[in-house]
Amino acid sequence: MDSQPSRISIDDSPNRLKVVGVVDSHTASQLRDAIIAHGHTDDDLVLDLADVEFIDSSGLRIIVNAHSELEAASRRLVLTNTSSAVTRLLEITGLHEHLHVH
Amino acid sequence: MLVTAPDRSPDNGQAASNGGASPVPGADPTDFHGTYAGVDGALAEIRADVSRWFAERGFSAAAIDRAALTVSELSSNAIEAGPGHPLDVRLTFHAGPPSRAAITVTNVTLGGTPPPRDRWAPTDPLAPRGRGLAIVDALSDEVQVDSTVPGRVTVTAHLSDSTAPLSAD
Repeated sequence: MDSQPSRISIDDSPNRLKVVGVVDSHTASQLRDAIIAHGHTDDDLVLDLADVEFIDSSGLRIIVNAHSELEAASRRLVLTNTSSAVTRLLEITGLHEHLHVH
Repeated sequence: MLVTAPDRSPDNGQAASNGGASPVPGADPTDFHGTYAGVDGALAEIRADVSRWFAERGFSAAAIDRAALTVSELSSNAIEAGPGHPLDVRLTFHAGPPSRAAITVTNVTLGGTPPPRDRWAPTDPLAPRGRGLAIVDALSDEVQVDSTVPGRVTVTAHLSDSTAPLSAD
């Protein structure tokens, strides 16, 4: 057993997901599944990223895909309370200029 | 998830000689070589091992964060290129100031090789994929890609502790 597995937890509330822990290619599918579970409303979806300790491009992939899919449905994916790890990656990639970050 | 326990014993600077990688001149003899299973579940252990090695050599917290993200991106690419095949992670150290280190990841590739440097970043800002090497490039002083050995790819990222912290560090 991996002594330090990647951990992610997602607190699910109406139109809001709070992501805690690590978002890498090992855990990204859990974030994707949680977002998909919010696919049946007309409201915007808020991702609270205050407690994301680590994120890499695998996590960004899920966020960018979700952004595009919600935009196509005239909804918005809003990233809020971005942690320093998230902010750094959004700035490195320039995605902070293309996603809804508040 | 570890295939072979990381060898933390001194290897006299030979660590990065495999696969065409470029060792840091004057490398410290306490280099690192770990071989990991080519599965996503190994990523946390790889990051932990690399972070610990950087911390033990006195790198700043910002540099340790850059190293962890760098090796995560390189290892994710390696696992995607050769799923299930072991990947090698090698670290070489050069005492400063500024302290410098090279992170080298060597993996089997089942066909795909890294694109040329001018295509490391996607042209469409909202493309879902293809940011890994651009992120590594932004975090590093220099990135070298060696795909001259058929079926293998070696990527080396050179980091220094003097690299200006990014705004979010």
